[in-house]
Amino acid sequence: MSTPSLTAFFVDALGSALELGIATPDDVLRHVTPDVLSVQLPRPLWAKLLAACLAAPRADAKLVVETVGVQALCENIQGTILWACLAEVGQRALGKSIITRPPAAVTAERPAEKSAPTAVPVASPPSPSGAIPSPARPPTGPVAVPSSEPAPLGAPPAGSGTQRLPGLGRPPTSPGLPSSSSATGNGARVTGAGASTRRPQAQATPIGSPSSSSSSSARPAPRTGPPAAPGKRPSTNSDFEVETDVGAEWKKQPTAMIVPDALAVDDEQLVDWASEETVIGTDERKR
Amino acid sequence: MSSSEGRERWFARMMESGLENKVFAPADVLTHATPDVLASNLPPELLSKVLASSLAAGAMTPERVLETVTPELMARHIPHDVLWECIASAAQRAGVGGSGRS
Repeated sequence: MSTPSLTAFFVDALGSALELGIATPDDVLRHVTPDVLSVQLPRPLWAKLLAACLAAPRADAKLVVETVGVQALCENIQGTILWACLAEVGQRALGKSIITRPPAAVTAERPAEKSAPTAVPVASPPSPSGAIPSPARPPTGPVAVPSSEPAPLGAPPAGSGTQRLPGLGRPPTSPGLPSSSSATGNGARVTGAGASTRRPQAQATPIGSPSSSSSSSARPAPRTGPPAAPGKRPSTNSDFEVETDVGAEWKKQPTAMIVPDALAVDDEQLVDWASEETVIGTDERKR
Repeated sequence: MSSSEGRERWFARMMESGLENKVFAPADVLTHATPDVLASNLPPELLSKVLASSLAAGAMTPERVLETVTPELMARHIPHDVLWECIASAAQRAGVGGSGRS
């Protein structure tokens, strides 16, 4: 379709581009489309191409280009089309044009319901979504952070009754299991680690006074309360504060039951703790 | 082979083929690879050879320049966008170009 010299040039330019990896067969077929081939490629070459595609396990651009051959392509395809292909490759090689391939998957990700900044990192324009644009976030939203921290064994939020991760703390801490888990649930109220250490103490208190058992029995009520707590919140400003307030209430309630004992018992508990540890140690040694 | 090396080889091949097939002539090359471009990008020893060969022949012609500044050397030293301009212009003259100009 082009003059011989031009064809030879196209053969060299396109062929070497393919050889050197500057162009790919896909680049060629982006311009030398099946429609173009159907019109401009001679039938004998079509027969060869069809046979090759049928025989190959996979038909792709590489197969087409290799089967037809750069020489035959350049001899039969219109020069303007070949040039368009070559120009695109050249522009790209020079870094002058940005070939935007529609990243279909880009928007695939959900805007993230609760997940914070995780999603859509790559393609999404950073500006608009700046900080977790999720519009649906209710006032409890701020707690979103915890969602990523789920470690939130943190029963604390429980007190607030805010959105909780479904499976985590709630059910077990509920009156059903008075075991250590429930204890953690209590103590965890305010601070994770410290609370957990205390709980054992809290349970130890029962040893000191029978009333503590009653207090433990009383605890379940407040626990169940927290979920209902939202009703209590109104007085508090933020969820965080609410949580702490609830925690305070929590302490207050049980202490109200044991007030006199509790004060005296705390110190003893600490002592008991140490003693318990030593006892355990001794037991182990004995064993 | 790095991408830049591959590009260099590709441009060398295109320049060689363009000249061989008379898609463009040495004069066309020097229309884009002007004396300023050559002076700014060719290494001293190559400039020296260009001048020496021309002096020896008694004239400096585009053909003689390109005998010294081979396609490989052009691709190595002359900015590729300059070479591309040369190629694109030739394509346009041949009636197939038009979209390749930067």
